[in-house]
Amino acid sequence: MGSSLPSKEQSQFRQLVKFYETKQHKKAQKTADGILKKFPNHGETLAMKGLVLNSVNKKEEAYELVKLGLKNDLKSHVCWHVYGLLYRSDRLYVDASRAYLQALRIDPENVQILRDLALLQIQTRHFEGFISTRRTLLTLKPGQKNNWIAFALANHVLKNYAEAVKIIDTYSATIVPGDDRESVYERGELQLYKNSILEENGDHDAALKHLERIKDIVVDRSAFLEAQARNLLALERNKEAEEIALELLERNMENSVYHEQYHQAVLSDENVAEEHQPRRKIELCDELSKSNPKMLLPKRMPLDLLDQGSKEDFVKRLDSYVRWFLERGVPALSVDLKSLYRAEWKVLAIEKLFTGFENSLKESGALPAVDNDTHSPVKSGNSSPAVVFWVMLFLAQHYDRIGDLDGALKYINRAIEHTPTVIEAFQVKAKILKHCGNLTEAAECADAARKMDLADRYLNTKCTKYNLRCNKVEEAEANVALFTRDGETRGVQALYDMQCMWFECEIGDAYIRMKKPGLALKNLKAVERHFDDFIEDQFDFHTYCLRKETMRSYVNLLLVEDEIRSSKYFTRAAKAAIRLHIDLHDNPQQKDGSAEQAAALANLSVAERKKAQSKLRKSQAKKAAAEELKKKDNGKADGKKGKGGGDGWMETDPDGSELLKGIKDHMVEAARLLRELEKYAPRDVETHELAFEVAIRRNKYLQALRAVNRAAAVQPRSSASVNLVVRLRLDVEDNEEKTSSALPEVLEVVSTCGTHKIVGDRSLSGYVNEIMTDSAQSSDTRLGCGMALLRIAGNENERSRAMEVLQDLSGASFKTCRQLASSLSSFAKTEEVESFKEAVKEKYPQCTVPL
Amino acid sequence: MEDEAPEKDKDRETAKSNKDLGKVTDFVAEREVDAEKFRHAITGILDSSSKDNAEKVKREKELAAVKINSEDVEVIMKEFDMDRASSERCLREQSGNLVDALRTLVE
Repeated sequence: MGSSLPSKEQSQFRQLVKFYETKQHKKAQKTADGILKKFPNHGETLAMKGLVLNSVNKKEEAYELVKLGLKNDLKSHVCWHVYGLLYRSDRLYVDASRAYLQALRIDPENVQILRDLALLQIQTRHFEGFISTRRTLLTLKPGQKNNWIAFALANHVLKNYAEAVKIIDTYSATIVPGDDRESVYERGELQLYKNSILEENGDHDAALKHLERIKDIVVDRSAFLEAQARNLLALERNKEAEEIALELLERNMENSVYHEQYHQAVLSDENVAEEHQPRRKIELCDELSKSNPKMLLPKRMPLDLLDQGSKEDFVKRLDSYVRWFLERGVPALSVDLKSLYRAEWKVLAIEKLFTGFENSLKESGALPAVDNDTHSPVKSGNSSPAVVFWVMLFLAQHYDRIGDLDGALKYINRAIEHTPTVIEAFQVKAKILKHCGNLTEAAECADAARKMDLADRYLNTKCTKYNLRCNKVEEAEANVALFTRDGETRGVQALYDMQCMWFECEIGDAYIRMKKPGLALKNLKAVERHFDDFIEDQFDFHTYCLRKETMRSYVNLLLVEDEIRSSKYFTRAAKAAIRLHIDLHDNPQQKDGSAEQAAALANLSVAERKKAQSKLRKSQAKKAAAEELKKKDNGKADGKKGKGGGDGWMETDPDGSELLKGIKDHMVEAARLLRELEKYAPRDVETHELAFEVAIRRNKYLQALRAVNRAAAVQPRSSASVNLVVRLRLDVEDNEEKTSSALPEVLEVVSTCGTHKIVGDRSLSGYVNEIMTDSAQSSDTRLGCGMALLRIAGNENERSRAMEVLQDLSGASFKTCRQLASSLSSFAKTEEVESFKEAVKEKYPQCTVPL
Repeated sequence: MEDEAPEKDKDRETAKSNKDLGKVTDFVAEREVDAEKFRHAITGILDSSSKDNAEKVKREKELAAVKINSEDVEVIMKEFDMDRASSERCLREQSGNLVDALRTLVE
C-alpha cells in the first residue's frame, strides 16, 4: 500500500487507511490532502480520498476522484478495491465484485479484498464463489477463528453437511477455550450450530449423541431441550420424547408446539388409532390442566379438538372457558375463539351460549349457575354489571363475523349505551360500520375511539387507516403525525424513515381511488424501497454474526432474507402498483391528469377512443424518451444524491410526477413487479390473475397461458381461476384475428396446453356451471361463476340468466361486491353494471362510497 | 427544571443507543490465535473439501453438446422475458426442441 511514496508519506497513507476504517472521516480527509499536496497525482491517495468523501455523502466527487485515482494507477490493487467498495456502497453488487476480482488478479492473496469479496458473495447467495473465497482465506489465515466458522458455513449452505461438521470439530479440538462468560456462551452456540447441521442432515442419532456430550456447556437450555425433543420424535423414541416434552411444558405451558410434541410422543407410544386421537389428546390436556389450573392453553385446545359427536362436552367446556374472560373483561375473547368459526355447529353453539348468558343476566342479574364440575373453578353468584357489557360486545363481534350486520349493530349500540366509556366498543363499532360499507361513519367512530385516549398509538393508527379508507388524506396525515418523532424530519418523510409500510400501502390505495397516480406510485414505490433496504441491511450481519459466533440466528436471518419479499406488505404494494400500471396503460390520459382530455374521450365511440388513446400513448412515449435523454446528459448524479442533499426521498419529487414520467412503458414496469410476485407469492391466485392481465396486454399469449395454468393449480375452483380459463378461451384460443401474427410454435403450444386440459370435453358454460353447483356454499365462487357466464353469454337470454346469478348477493361481503363491480365494469354492458350496483346498494343500504 | 430532567435523560439515552448502533458496523481487528497449531490442523480439512461432482460435470457436458437454433432461443427470450443464458439452458434440456421447451415453460 502506498508503496510508490517516500517513507514519510507511506506512513501517512497508512494513517489515512486507519482513519477511514475507524470512521474518522475529517482526519482522513486532512491526511489525504496532506499527501496530495506533495504528490497530486498519487492514484491510491486520490482513490482513498474519494472513498472518504463517499462516506460523507459527496457522491459525485467521490466517483470522480476514485476514477481519477484508478486512471493514474491501473496496476494498484488498492485503487481497484476502492472502486469495488464504492460500487458496493451503491448496491451495485455485480460491478463491485468485478472490481474486487480485478484487484485480486493484481494481488491474489490480499486478505482484506478476499474478505470483502466473500461478503458480497454471501450477500448475493453466490455460494460456489463464496466457498472458494472462504477456502482461500482459511488457507491464508488459519489462525483466525472467523475463517473456520465461515468456511463451515459455506459448506453448510451448499449442503456439504459432513464437511461442515468436520470443520467445526477440527476447530473446536484445536482452540484452547477461554472461561470468561462470553467464551462459554460462544462455545455453546457453536455446538448448537453444529447440532442443527447434524439434524438438518437427517442424522438424528448423531445429533442426540452430540447433545448428550454438550449437555454441560450449552447455555440456551430451551433450545437444547427443543432439539432433543425434535430428534427423539424423529427417531420415534417416544418415551424419552414424552419426558422432554413435559419438561418443556413445565417451562412454558402456553406454547402450542410443546403440546403438539407431547401429544405426538404419547400417541405414537400408545399406538392410538386415528379416530381415538382427539379424545386422547383432550385427556392429556385435562391432566395438565388439573395440575396447572391457571394455564389457558390446555383448556383452549380441547375446544378445537372436539367433534360434533361431543357437542354437550363442547358447550360445557366453552362455558367455563369464556367465563374466565367475561368476568375479567378481557376484550380479546372474540379473537381467541376465531378458529372455532370454521365449524358451523360450533358457531351455533357459541351463539346459543352467549344469548343464553344475555337472557340470564337480564332475568337474574347473573350468569347461569354451573353444575359442580372440574372444568369450572369459578363460583356462581351475582355477576358484576360489567359482565353484561362484555357479553353484548362479544355478541356484536359474533354477528359481525357471521355477516349478520344488523344484529351486530344492534348489540354494539346497546353495549355502548350500557357503558359508553369502553374504547374497545367504539373500535368494534367502527369495524362493523366498515363492513356495512359505511366508511364515513366508521372513520368518525374510530376517531371517537382515538379521542378517548390520545396517548394510545394503536388507536391513532386505526383512526388514520379508517380516514384513509374514505380518502380523507389530510386528516390522516395530521393524525398520524402526532406520533412521529420530534426529529429533524416531519410528515411523510418521517414515516418513510420509520419504514411505516401499512401507512404507505393505505395512502397509496387512497391516492389510486382519488386518481392521483403520481402520489400513489410514490408511496407504493416507497414500500418497494424499504425491502431493498431490508436486504441491504443483511450486510452488517455477515461480519457481525461471524464475529459474535451467533450462527444459529445468522442462518435464520439468511433464510428470512431469502423470502423477505413474500411479506404481505411487499405483495400488497406490488399488486396495487401493478393494477395502477394496468390502469395507466389502458387510460393514458390520466397521466397528465387533464380532465378535459378524459371528458373528450368519454364522448367518443369505443373505436375512436382506442385510436385517440394509442395516439396519446405514442406521443407520451416520445416525450418520455426525450426527457430520459436529457437526464442522461445531466449525468448519473441524479439518482445518487439520495440522503445526502438534506432532502429525504419522500421530499424530493414529493408528488411523484418525476417518478411517473420516468416510466416509459407501464406494461414493462408491471412485468418487472410481476416477476417478483411470481417468485415470492406463487401461492397467491391474485398473482396469476394480474400476470394474465399484463400478458394479454403485451400479446404474450404463452405467459397468459402460464398464468391460467398456475392459477388453476393453486385454486382450481376459485372465482379467479374460472374467469381466467374463460378469458383465455375467448380472448386467445378462439380469437384468430388477434393471434394471427403469433408464431406457429406458439399457437401449437396454446392449442395443446391450453384450456382444453382443464375444461375437457365439456362446453365452456358446462364447465362453469359444474363448478358453480359444486361449490354452492361459497358465495365468492358462485358470483365469480356468474361473472364468467356473463362473459360467455352469446344472447340476451344467457345474459339475463348470468345476471340473475350475479344479483343473488347472499353471503357476499361488501369488499367482494366492490371488487365484482369493478371487474364487471371492464367488460359488461353499462345497464348490467348498473343493475348489479343496484343489488349491492339494496344489500348494503348504508354504503357511503361510490362502487 | 424538573420537566427538563427526564427530557435530557431521554436525549442521552437516544444518543447512547445511536452510538451503540453505530458500533455494530465498526471495524474490528481480527483476533489471531495459535496460528501454528491451526496451520497444522487445517491440512486434513482443505484436501477433502475440494471434492468434485463428477455427475454434475457429466450432465453439463451433455447439455453443452446439444445443438440449438439461435432463432429458437430468441423466441423463448421474447415470449417469456427470460435472459439468454436460461433460455438456452431450457432449450438444451429439451434437446433443442422449441415446442417442448415452450411447453415446459407454460406449466
